[in-house]
Amino acid sequence: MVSFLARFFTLSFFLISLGCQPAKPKPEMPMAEAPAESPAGLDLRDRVRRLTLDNGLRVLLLKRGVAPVFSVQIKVTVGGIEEEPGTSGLAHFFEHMAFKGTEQIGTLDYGKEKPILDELEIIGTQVSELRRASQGTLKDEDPKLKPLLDKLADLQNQAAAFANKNEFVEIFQRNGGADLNASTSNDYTTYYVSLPANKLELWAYLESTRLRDRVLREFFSEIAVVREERRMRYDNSPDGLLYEALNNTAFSKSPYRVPVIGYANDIPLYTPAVARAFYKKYYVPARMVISMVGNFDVDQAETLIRKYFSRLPKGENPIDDFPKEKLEDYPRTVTIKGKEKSRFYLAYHRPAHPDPDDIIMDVAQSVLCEGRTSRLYKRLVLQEKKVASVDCYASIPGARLDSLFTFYAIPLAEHTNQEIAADIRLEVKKLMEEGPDDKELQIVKNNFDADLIYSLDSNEGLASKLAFYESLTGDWQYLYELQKRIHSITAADVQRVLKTYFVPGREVLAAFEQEIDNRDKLQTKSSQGGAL
Amino acid sequence: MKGLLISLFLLWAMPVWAIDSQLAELEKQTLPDLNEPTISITTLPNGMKLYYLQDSELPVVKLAAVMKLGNVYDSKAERGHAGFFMSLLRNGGSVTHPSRRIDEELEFLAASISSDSDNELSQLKMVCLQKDFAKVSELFFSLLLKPAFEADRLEILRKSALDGLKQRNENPMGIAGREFAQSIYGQDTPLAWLSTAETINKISVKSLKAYYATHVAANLMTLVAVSPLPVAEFTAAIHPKIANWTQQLPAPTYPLKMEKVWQPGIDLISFEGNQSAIMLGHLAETRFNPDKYAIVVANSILGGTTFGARLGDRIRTELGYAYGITASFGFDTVYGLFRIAVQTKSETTVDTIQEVKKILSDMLSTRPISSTEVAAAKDKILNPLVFEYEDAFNVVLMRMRYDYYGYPPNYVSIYQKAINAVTVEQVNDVVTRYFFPDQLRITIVGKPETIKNLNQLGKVNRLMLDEE
Repeated sequence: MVSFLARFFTLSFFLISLGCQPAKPKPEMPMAEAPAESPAGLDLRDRVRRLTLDNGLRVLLLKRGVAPVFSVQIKVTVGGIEEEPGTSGLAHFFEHMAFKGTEQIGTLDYGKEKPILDELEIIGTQVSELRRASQGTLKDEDPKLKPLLDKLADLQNQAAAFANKNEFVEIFQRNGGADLNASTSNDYTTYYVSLPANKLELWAYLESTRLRDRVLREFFSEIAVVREERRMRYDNSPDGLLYEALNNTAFSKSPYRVPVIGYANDIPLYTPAVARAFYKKYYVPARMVISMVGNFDVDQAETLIRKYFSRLPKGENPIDDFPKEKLEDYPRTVTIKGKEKSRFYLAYHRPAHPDPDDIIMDVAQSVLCEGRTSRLYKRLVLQEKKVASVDCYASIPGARLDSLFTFYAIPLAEHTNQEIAADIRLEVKKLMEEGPDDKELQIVKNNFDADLIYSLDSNEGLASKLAFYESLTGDWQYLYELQKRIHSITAADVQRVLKTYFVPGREVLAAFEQEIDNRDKLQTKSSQGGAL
Repeated sequence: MKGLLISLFLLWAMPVWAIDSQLAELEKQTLPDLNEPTISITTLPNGMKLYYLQDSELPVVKLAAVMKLGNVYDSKAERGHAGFFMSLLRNGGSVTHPSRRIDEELEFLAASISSDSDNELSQLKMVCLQKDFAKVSELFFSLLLKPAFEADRLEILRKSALDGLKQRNENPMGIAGREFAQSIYGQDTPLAWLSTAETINKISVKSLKAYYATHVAANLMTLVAVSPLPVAEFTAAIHPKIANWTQQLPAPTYPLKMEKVWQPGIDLISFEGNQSAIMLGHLAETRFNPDKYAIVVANSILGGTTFGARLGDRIRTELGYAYGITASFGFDTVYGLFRIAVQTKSETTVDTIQEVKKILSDMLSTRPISSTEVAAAKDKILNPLVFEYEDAFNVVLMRMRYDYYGYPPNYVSIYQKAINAVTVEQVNDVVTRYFFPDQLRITIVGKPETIKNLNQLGKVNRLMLDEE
């Protein structure tokens, strides 16, 4: 099944184009078929209540389901792309700090804790500045650094005596909070939880309080946690390394170049002052969307949200101003070597929403990669048996800025990255020349329409979808505009887009090449004996 | 309108402390009662059971055929068949509908058929819009009752599985998990065995057809479904598709027997990287142990989640050694596994292990579990139970699985009351009888040269992942 609307979940893909031949004349396409009317009760436009608070915060409320529960997201338009040079990963780090509590939550005695936190900030900042000045070469044992680190450790112990560890999280947990977490992408930071319906006011209190009064508690110990997260997700993962290499290679000026987790050298240099300034600049209500879906009283929810979230100061919403990528010196290639299996990303620069070609990229993605009948799956998995799967991501690494349509595959034994990449280029070229047939386009349309119904099956999924489109386009109802456009797209539209964007002058190949040694053939273990 | 404006003004003017004082009050609100919807359970004329719930919210039909089939029921000669079988059941076409046509039709209708398999139960599941139910169920039952196991699709799966063998040593925690299970259970048990090129290459169309003939039968299958149709209408709709299928087989008996015995020790598996994956634990308990509820509370306090549990508070929040650390205590048909999983940089591998052991030991001695911890843990376990009823299909599937494993029909309610009744004394009693910090099996996957003070751990068995 084509999961069309899934693109807001991050990865999407791309495409390539080789020697563009003129498309063959095609029979006249049938008139675009308008989307069918949604059955009564299934049209979200009849059911979502949308409001904007005086401070600019937007709210979407939708009642559905039988169980007395709801899911809610607060999506903030701040991500990795908002970070200044040298502070990579700060948006993600700030998301971690959002769970550390407030002046009232997470402390046993804030009056006594605060002076220690203040001193911690002074010493920790000195440590950070020394490290930054030495460009990371200073060892912990260095006589300039060691006394400060000792003092820092002492202060951390003192502060720990007044901290009520993880109290913010525990309040949610003991009140039935499920799936409590947050995520940070290049584009957004999102806080989410599902709760029993009668805990709606508790949620409103906790979330509005932490958005307004958060305390940067356990700041310096959390840096160590994030360094471990980086080791886990990137340093020790061939896919993590390759993904980082792809974006580093594909982008020279765009902030999409920078990994969301941050560079290893930047993470230890964060300071509370820089984090606080980041928060003040970007955590303004006009950049926030609350999306709540479930079995709750909508009137009561509106009242409570107005009551608690109107407390957030309006602030000033900074204007987005990001450097655009200059499409020079392409195609580009980057190769990483390692002991794991070979794999690759093949990517093409593409424009972001609101470019009208954005949605056509999604159609190309579906025709090429979605499902067992997609062109690349049929060719590479079913017919030629060269890969176990092939993925397309229409928009990597994000959706707010011009990004990449990306293919990803792991060749099966006896096949190479270069071979599969060439196959993909050929299949794209074929689609470019002949265009998708009527049935392929109808599958895309049918799945888009059905997804609008299936999406009503999950509080969490629907809350996420509404929040995404509201944040990206300014109006969640853009979903229905998309539906209209999907139904009007023709084969010629797809051909034109492929010819425009899937060209060598926009191409990036990021390959992980396996170095053959004994670890690629590992199967089972054997005891070597001996104690260490 | 005027009243609203006044009240809003007052709220804006309200100091933080005034709102904060509401926290305790807000937490007092009681949670809604758990009301299980009425599920229709019937036995169809051919011996199949049907668990059904009418759900009119959406014009969507979900239907699964759950089979008593999985790794534990595979003989040694059939090792690895269960997973392959379920995958080919979905992908291998039927004698009336080639796989290619099934895929095309499903995608045109925006419908899906999928399969999965666990140790004891496997299922084939379809999801479609109500308007397409007749067409999609035709495809579904043709796969289920007349599978073709097309040779070409088997070869695709085989190539993929053989290649997958080369990828399974890429993830250090994945390696730690499977090697830990083998170190506790042994390598020659369906609970821990691994596919090999030999087991994969032995699977053939013939062996899959034989597997179908000996493992799939109407009396061993349960249909689980949710749709807007009344039960009689739904049953009438599927009846023609299954009425002629009367295959019956003796019910298999659960084949595994196990003593609660394991070998403590430390295994180190070499892995290039700057972080170690560590798994620590031992055998856990069986499904119907009467101490289960107190153990569940104890494990929640130890490491039910990274946040707000003893392990996470110390290892992540205080020491910054790891991004996450959790403990799980498995209650299975035979003894499950008690496992603590954590990843930390190479240099702090030994410190992390020592800290984990200390936290466990302290729980048994110097830092017994407090009544405050027990009360908080109960809330954390009980209050999210309402989410068990969020998804109608899962409600029905859950009820079917409870029946399969022999739980009473109102098990969620029983579980709720039993957890509520647990006392701090019971929790401190079970930690001494079911958690064994001095007899841990520990699996480390990391780079030996960069693990500091490795010799402090005592004897370490160094294992090599080698060629097959």
